[in-house]
Order: sequence, then structure tokens, then C-alpha cells
Amino acid sequence: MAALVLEDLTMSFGALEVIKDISLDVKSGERHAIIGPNGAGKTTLFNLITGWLKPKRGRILLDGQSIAGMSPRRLSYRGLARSFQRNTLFEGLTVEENLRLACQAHRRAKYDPARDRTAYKDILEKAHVAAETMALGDSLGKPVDELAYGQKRQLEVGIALCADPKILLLDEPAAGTSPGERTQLISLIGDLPRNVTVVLVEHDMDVVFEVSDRITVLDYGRLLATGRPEEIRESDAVREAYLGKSGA
Amino acid sequence: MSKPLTLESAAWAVAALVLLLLLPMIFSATTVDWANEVIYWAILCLGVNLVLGYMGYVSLGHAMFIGTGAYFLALFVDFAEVPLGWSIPLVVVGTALLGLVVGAIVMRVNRIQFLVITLAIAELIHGVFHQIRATGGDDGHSANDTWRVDLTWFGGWDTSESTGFYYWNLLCLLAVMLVLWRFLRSPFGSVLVGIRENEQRMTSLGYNIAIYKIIAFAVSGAAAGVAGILYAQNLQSVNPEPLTWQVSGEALLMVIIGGRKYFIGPVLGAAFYIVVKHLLESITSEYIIFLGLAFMAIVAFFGRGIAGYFVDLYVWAKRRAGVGRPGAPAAEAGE
Repeated sequence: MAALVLEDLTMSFGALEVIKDISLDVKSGERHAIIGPNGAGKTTLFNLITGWLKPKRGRILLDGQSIAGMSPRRLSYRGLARSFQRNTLFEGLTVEENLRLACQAHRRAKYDPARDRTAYKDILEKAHVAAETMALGDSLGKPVDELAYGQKRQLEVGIALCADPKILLLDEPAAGTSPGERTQLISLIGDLPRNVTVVLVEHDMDVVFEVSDRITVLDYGRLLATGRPEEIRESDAVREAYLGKSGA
Repeated sequence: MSKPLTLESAAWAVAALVLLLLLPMIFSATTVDWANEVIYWAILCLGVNLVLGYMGYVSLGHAMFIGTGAYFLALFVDFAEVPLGWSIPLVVVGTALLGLVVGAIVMRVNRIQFLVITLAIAELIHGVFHQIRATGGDDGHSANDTWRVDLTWFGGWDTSESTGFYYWNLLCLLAVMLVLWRFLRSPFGSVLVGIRENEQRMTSLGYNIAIYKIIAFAVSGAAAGVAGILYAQNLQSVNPEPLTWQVSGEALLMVIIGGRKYFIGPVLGAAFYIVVKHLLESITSEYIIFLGLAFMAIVAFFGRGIAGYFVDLYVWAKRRAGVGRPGAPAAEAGE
């Protein structure tokens, strides 16, 4: 069953059409990568799906229900969570507090103005589990600004994971990481539970071909191809537009 | 994360409390008058810092809360003739409501607009009270009877003289601190810190940050309203002066001097500022020059304020004593 469906999605900034008639099905539990050269419209597509931008035309269906135009906040309650291309963390706080804030986001406890925050043991425990999932269990007490870059990328994904999303959208999770850090991220993303559908935008082909079940290629806002990694690797159109030059 | 209260920090708190309780017996009557002044500033600053240090927004309009707090007391007691015991909670509710309204106006603006709009609203309110004839316009209004609470039934506690009034002030300060301490350590308080650190992420996670901003502003306003009550009780009169933007500015200075990243920072800042101001005043009428220099020196050498300096000193002393916790982070706001 399709967890996420895009129908004739179109978006423009002024006269510039950055997303043109994109239709796409993402299956439940799938690992779906969206690739394409710079300016292909990948991040715009993400912002459309997560409610940060409103599409000019077309529909977005989450579990069969139209969600186009809903606010990011409402979408988070619908089970959509995202990470950001640039670190969007609570820099001055500890890893634990970053994750605790994320785990608290859909709980009524977040409005409690009197009890100590640590009194909600289950929220704290959930934050600890998320830390373990993203291999940050040893850094709980560390302020984020003391983390290594790769750990910050892990936390970026970890925060998104705390909301128990049905669909997790990862915007270039490996952006700027060293090869070692990338390997770690690949294995962590690969180990995410299969009841979570993962859609990721990524530049790094190692990450893409390692993690994905299917790949969608965008070029200048148009959908060029969708298919299994080996199909995409062998597609002439894709090779011409994107992979050809680097020979990846 | 919030650390549990250790035996040691409890001991420090008790020592500070004992010192404050003994203050009128150790120091002169003038000092007690200064302390009374420090306390309403400290409460105002605690309110300011909820928005500045915790939520990360600079308000240049908190004068509106201490000012209206003072005027509300005058209006309730002398004009509406509400008993004092009812007037005081009504003032707190009134300033909280003002905070809700102003908060609703400023909840969607960015940090620069926030500063300008809070300033503009405060100036507007200043203008209004400046013009109202009933409360004496620019001259202000003096208490018909007394605005100080009668506590003589409690072991002859006389709030009409300085020392007795000091203990009433101290009680109010501790009450405000206790409420804000609990509030800021709660899940609600943690969201304010999240807003300071990253609003985009908070929205993405599913927080309705507008509601948090409005309520935070109301709580902050109510605290400053308490400061207004004490201000009016101290002077036994009200006038538009606490509504001026200079008051908002001075409160910001005190918070920064004291250390906005620390819960106790605003209190230390208010104490330092008022005491140094009075000491300099007794030496020279141009005290403001030296106050400015002192402020610059603190910002230059103690970037995290007086509270930050004490924390550093404490860590250093512990390390020297050989029981240091290397790399132990300071107990900063929101951690």
C-alpha cells in the first residue's frame, strides 16, 4: 500500500517552475531516495510534503488523505517527521534535552507548567532509547555544540525519530560528513525499524545505493525515472542527466 | 537537563536566606531602604529574564507591567475601593491579562520587531497614564490611606516601617522566585528554552510556539506586576515614572550584568546595580558615568554576568580543593 502519494504536484517561485507535474507513490515501509543534480527541486519537494511550502497545483496524500497545505505542526501529528539539510538542533542544550523536547512534542505533558520535567520518566526514557538508536547513548549529557559533526547529523535524525513517525523524511542526512561518519549514518539509517517509511534526499551515491529500495531521479523539477537501484544505475536517461559525468 | 537539587546547593540557599533575614540587624537603616528598592527591581528583572534569558526575546517594554501594576493597585484600592487583600491578587491577574494581550500582538513577529513593538506599546501606556487626570497625570497620586498590608496580627509584624516592610518584600521575592523556578523547570518552561534555541525545529516537532510565547509573556508580566505593587507600596504613591522606557532599559542592564543564563542572575544584577548606584551617588552627582564604566567592565570581563563569574569561581575553588569535576558544565538556564 502506498503510504505517500504525490499527484501532479507543481510548485513555482514567481515565473520559475521548480517542481513540474510530479507524480509518485512511496510504499509503506519503503526506503525511497530522491536524487538529482543541484537545483533539481529535491528540497523544495521536501518542503511541499512537510508543509513548509504550499503547492501551486496537485495533491499530496498521506495514507489516502489529502494533506497539501496543512501546517508543519499539524502534519507532525499526522505522523510526518523530517530532518533538515542544515543542522536544526537546540545547540545550547544537551543531547538528552534535545531528544527529550522532541519526545515531549506530542504529549499533553508539554503544557504542564508546574511539575519538574524530569518527573515524566517515560518521556525521558524514550529520549534515551532514541539516543541509543542513533548511537548517541554515551553523549547524553554533552551540550550539542561540543559534539562532533557526524554526531550532530545523527542527532538531527534522532530528533525526527522521537515523534514515532509513520514517514520519516531525511533531507541530506549525510551532508558534510566524513567517509567514516557516513558509513555510521548509513548503517544507522539502514537499521531503522521497517514500520517507518523513509524518504531521503541525498547527494552521496554510496548512501543512496546502500540504503534505498527504490530511487526517484529529479532533473530541473521533472521526474526523470523511478525504479530499483539497479534499474536506475542502468537507465540511459538518468546516466545522461546525472550519473554520466561522474561515472558513479 | 535539570539537575536534582543537591544537599550542597540547598545549604547555599539556606545560608543566603539566613543572611537576608539578618540583614536589618547587621546593616544600617539606609541599607534596608536600598534592599527594599533592590527587591522590586529584582522581581521586575526575574520577569524580564523569563522572556530574555529563557525564551530569547528582548523586551524593551516591561516598564508597562511594573508601571501598570503600581497604577492598578492605586486604582483598585483608592478609586474602586476594593479591599487591599483583594486588590493585590487582582493586580497580578490584571498585569497577566495585559501580558496576554501584548503577547498575542507580538507572538508572530521576529526578534527585532519584538523589541520595537514592546517598546511602542509601553510608550503608549506611559502616554495614557501621563494624561489621566484622575490619577494626577504627570504628578501622580498618593495613597489615600496606606497600601501596605496590615500584618500586625502576625506577631506584631509592622509593615509601615522599613524593616517590617523589608520582610514583606522578601516574602514576595521568595514567592515569585519559587513560582518562576517551578515554572521554568517544568515541561512548559523547557519549551520556552526550545523556542530560544530553534523555533523552526519546535514548529516542525509539533509545538504551537505562539501559545507558549503568549503565556510566557503573561507570566513574565504578572511577575513584573508584583514588582509594581511593591513599588507603589514602597513610595505610598504612583506616578508615570516606572512606565518610562528607561525603566525597561535599566532592567535589561541589570539582567545582563547579573547573568541572563542563570535563574539567580537578575536578582544579583538588580542588587549590584542599585547598591553601586547609591554608593556612587553619595560620592558624585555624575554617577551615571561610572555606572556606565562598571557596566562595560562587567560585560567585557564577565561575559556571563555576576552569576557566571560566581559559578566559574566555584568550579575553580573546587578544582583547587582537589574534588573538582573536570569539564563539569555550569548550571546554566535551561540545562
